[in-house]
Amino acid sequence: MTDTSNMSEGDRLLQLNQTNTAIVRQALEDIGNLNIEGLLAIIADDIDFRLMGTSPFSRQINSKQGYLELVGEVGSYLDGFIQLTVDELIPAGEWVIVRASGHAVMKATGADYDNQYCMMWKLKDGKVVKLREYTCTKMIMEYFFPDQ
Amino acid sequence: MRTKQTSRVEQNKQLVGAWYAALASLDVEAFLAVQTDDVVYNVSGRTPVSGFFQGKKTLTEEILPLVFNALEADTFQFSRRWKVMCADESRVTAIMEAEGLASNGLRYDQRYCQIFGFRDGKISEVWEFFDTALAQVALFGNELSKPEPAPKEPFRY
Repeated sequence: MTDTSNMSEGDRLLQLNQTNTAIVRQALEDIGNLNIEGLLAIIADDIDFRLMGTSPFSRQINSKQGYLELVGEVGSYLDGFIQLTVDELIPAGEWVIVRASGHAVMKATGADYDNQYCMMWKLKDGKVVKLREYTCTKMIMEYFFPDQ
Repeated sequence: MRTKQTSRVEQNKQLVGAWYAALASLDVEAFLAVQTDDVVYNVSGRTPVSGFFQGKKTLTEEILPLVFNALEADTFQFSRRWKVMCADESRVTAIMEAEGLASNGLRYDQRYCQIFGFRDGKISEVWEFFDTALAQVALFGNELSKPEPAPKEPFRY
């Protein structure tokens, strides 16, 4: 790890932004590729994760295992997983904000599932400690739970 | 240089604070005053208010009435709580909670994430994310199983 003790506040922030941006980009790639080993390396054991809203997938999770289980639950409906394209990435110190567009294919129908995402990532010592995810829950209901 | 950047960040945060305060008091004049005339809204998802909208006229004549008419004004409170999560010279990201009843009597306790952009000392862009399933049921009375068509003007990334 780089010694930042002699850096100015601005340089430290710049370096933190670069480091955290790289971690988040890697995490998004790992999610798309279902690279569980990669995700395990990036996510804190006690990650505070919330998929916001009232869909059956929406919940608060406080463990790495719980997060991976949710990924598996969503993935069971999909052919592959959600490929995320970053539309804007806003690094801001310990937080990284991502606007992204997703593409996936529903296993049952072959339909394209193209949702939009806003993700708020908080990192500490190179690990994701908080993640807030906003997405269109109406589309989740329509594509994943059409009978509810 | 640093002072100039800091003051720009503070100015952006103040604009966002004023935007939330105006929503809280339903002060449309104050709400519009902190936005450019050609302000752009990108509202996520599939709801009657989702998609790309531009300009104060569209906001006041099309979008706000759709939302306000679906709420029980006596009980509903925008910006019950809000917090700026992070801010820099060009963007502010914030979360906001709203609570109360929709005009059909259902609870509409909503949580938003808004990302703001700025120009000429005002808010010029807003990306908004929220629980669209809740909005469909509580505000618009739509069955969740009924497909909602994509917005006429799609959300722009």
